[in-house]
Amino acid sequence: MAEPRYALVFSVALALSGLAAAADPAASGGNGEALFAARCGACHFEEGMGSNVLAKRLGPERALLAQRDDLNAEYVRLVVRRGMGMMPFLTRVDVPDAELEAITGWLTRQR
Amino acid sequence: MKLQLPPGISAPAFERAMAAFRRVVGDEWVLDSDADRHTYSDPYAPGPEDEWAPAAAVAPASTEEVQAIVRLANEHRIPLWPVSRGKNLGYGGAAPRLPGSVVVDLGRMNRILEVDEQLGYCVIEPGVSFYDLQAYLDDNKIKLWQSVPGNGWGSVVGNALDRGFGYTPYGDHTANICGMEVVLPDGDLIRTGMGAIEGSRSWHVHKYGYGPAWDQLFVQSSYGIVTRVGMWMMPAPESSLLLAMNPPKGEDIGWLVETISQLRLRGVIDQSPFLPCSFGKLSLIAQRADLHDGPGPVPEEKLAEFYEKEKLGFWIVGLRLYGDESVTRARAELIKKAFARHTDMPFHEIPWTAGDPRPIYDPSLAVPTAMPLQMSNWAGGRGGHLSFSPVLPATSKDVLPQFHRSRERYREFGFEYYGSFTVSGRTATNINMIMYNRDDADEVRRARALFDVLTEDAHKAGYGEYRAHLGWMDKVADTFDFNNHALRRLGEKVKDALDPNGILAPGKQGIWPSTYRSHRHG
Ligand SMILES: Cc1cc2nc3c(=O)[nH]c(=O)nc-3n(C[C@H](O)[C@H](O)[C@H](O)COP(=O)(O)OP(=O)(O)OC[C@H]3O[C@@H](n4cnc5c(N)ncnc54)[C@H](O)[C@@H]3O)c2cc1C
Ligand code: HEC
Repeated sequence: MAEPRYALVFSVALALSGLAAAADPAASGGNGEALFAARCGACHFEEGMGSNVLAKRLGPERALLAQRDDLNAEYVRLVVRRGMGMMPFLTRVDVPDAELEAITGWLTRQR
Repeated sequence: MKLQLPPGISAPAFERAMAAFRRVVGDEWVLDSDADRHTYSDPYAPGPEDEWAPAAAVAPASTEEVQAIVRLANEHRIPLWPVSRGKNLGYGGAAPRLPGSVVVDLGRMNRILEVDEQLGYCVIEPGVSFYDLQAYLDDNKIKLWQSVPGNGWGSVVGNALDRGFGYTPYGDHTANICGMEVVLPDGDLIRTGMGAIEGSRSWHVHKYGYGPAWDQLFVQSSYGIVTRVGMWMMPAPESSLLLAMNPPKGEDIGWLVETISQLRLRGVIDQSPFLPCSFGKLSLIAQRADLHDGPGPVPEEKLAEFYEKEKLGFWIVGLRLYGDESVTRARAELIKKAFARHTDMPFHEIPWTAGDPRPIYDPSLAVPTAMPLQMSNWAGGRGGHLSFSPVLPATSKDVLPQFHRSRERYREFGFEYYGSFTVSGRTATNINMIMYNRDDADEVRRARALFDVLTEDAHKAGYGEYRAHLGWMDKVADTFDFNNHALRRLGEKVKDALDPNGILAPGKQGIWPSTYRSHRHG
C-alpha cells in the first residue's frame, strides 16, 4: 500500500482542523472554507471519492473543487440539493441554506 | 418529489400536524417542500424515488423536542421514521418503509457529551458523525480509537442501531452500545441499564443493569427513538501489523474462513477480518465500461486477465493485529503457521507505529472514510447499490456452497460477482454487493430479481440476513418462519402494546403495528 497523497493545498493538518468545525458549528461561523471542509471534505479532498470521480470525468486538473475557478453558484446549489451521478443529495440539516451560501461563495471566489 | 400523504390522512389534517411540529422545532426545521422530500429519498433507490416516499422531515434539536414530536404524532396519527444521520446507503438512506411517513432527522442533535479516556467510552447524541467524533478525538488528543464502517459519512449511533460493523477489534458496533436514553412511542423517556438509577455513575460501563436488559430491543427496532448512547471505544494501540495476501482460487474461501475462525476463537486475531473478492478492488478503481463495451457483465476471462495483470488473486486477505509490538509479532507467527498448512504463499507484512499516518483507504486503521462509496460508480449513470447479507456458520461446508450458488446467480442475472466474508469467530457474514445504474431500468429490474432469488436460496439453505434494505424488510422477515412466524407475532404483540397508534417506524424490519398491518408487502 502506497503512502497517502494529500493535496498540495490541503495539508493533513488543515484537513483535520477544517473537519473539526463539524463538531463545533459556532467555530465555523460564516467561514466558507471551513464549512466546505466540514460538509464536503469527506468526498472532495484529495483521494475523496468525489475528487476521484471528478478526476475521471473532467480530468485531474479539475478534480479538486477547492482549486476550481470555473464553478458557478447556481450549479453548486443544484448539485448539492439534487445530487449528481454518484454524489448523493444533501439535506438542509446536513447543510443549512445559509451554510450552503457561504460554501458557494467560497467555491466561486476565483471567478 | 410530490407529497404522498400518510395512509388515511387528509391534506388539511397533514397540514395541521406540520403546523404543530413547527411550533415545536421552529419553521426552519420542518422540511416539507418538494425539494426537501427529494433529499430524504433513497439516493440509491432501486426504482422510482417515491416508492418509499417521505412526506416531510422534522429536525428536533433536543430530547424534549423529540418527546413533543412523538406526542403530537400520536395526536395527529402521523407515522414517523427516525434516522440519526440517515446515510444508510445500500439499505434505503433516510427513506421510510411506509410511504407518507415523516422522517425524524436527528442530525441536529450532534453533541459529544462525554469521552472517558481512562475507561474507553463516549456518550453521544445520534447526529454525531464518524468525522465529528474523529475531529473531537484529534482536537483533544484523546488516545482512543473509534471503529468506522465503509461508509463513514453516516453516524456512529445510526450505524450501531442498524447493527453495522467496522474493521477493528471493536468492529461489532452494536456490541459497543452500553446504556441508552430512549423516547418511547408514547413520549415517555427511559434510560436503560444502570442509567435507570437517578444520578447513575456506572451507566456506560456495565451493560445489563438489573432485571431484563433492554438495549438490544431498541436496535433494528420500532420501539423507541434513541436520543443518547454510550459507546465503548478501543484504547489507541501502540502499533499494528497488517498481514496481507491474495489467495488465487475462489475455493480458497473455505479454508480461509475456517482458519481465521479458529484463530479468532483462540484470541490470536481480535478484529473480524473482512475478505472481499478482488472485484471489490476493481470496482473502486474502474468502471464496467473501461473493461467491456458489450452488454451484460464483464466476461470472466477478461476479469481473470485483469487480476493476473494486477497480481490480484481471487480474494483479498488483510489480517490486522493491534497492540504492543512484541505481542503482535508473536501472534503473526501463529497466524503464519496456521496459514502454512494450506498455502505456501507468503504474507506481505506492513507494520504501523503510533504517529504514522492512517490512510483513509484502510478502515482497519479506524479513520473515517467515504471512499468505498465509489464502488457504486461501477455501473455508470446514477449509481446504486444493494447489499445482500446472510449470516453463515464459519465452516467450509456452509461457506463454499453459498459462494458457488451466489456466484452463479450473479452471472445468471447479468452481474459481476462481488461477495465478501467477514469472519467473527463462529460466524461468517456474507455481504454481497450488487451495483446497478439507476438510469438503466432493465439493470434495476435484474438487481431486484437477483436480490429476491438470493434471499430465497439462502433461506432454503437455512440462513437469514443480518440487515435489509427497505424493499426487502418484509421478505427477509418472512424467512424467519419457525412455528408460523412466532417471533414476528411476538414482535407485533409488543409493538401494539408500546405503540397502540402505530406511529413509530411502521414496517421497520417487517414488524407492523395493527394500525398499518395491511401494508405488509405493500
Ligand atoms: C459502499 C458502501 C459501504 C458500506 N460499508 C459499510 C460498512 O462497512 N459497515 C456498515 O455497517 N455499513 C456499511 N454501509 C452501509 C451504511 O451506509 C452505513 O451503515 C451507514 O453508517 C448507515 O448510515 P447512518 O449511520 O447515517 O444510519 P441511519 O441512516 O441514521 O440509521 C439507520 C437506521 O437505523 C434506525 N435508526 C437510526 N437512528 C435511530 C434512532 N436514533 N432511534 C431509532 N432508530 C434509529 C433507522 O431505522 C435508520 O433507518 C456501506 C454502504 C455503502 C454504500
Ligand atoms: C458522499 C460524497 C460527497 C459529498 C459529501 C459531497 N459530494 Fe460533491 N460530488 C461527489 C461526487 C461523487 C461527485 C461527482 C459526480 C459525477 O461526476 O458523477 C461530486 C460532484 C460535485 C460537483 C460537480 C462538479 C462539476 O464540475 O461537475 C459539485 C459542484 C459538488 N460536488 C459540490 C459539493 C459540495 C458543495 C458539497 C458539500 C456541501 C459536496 N459536493 C459534498 C460526492 C460528494
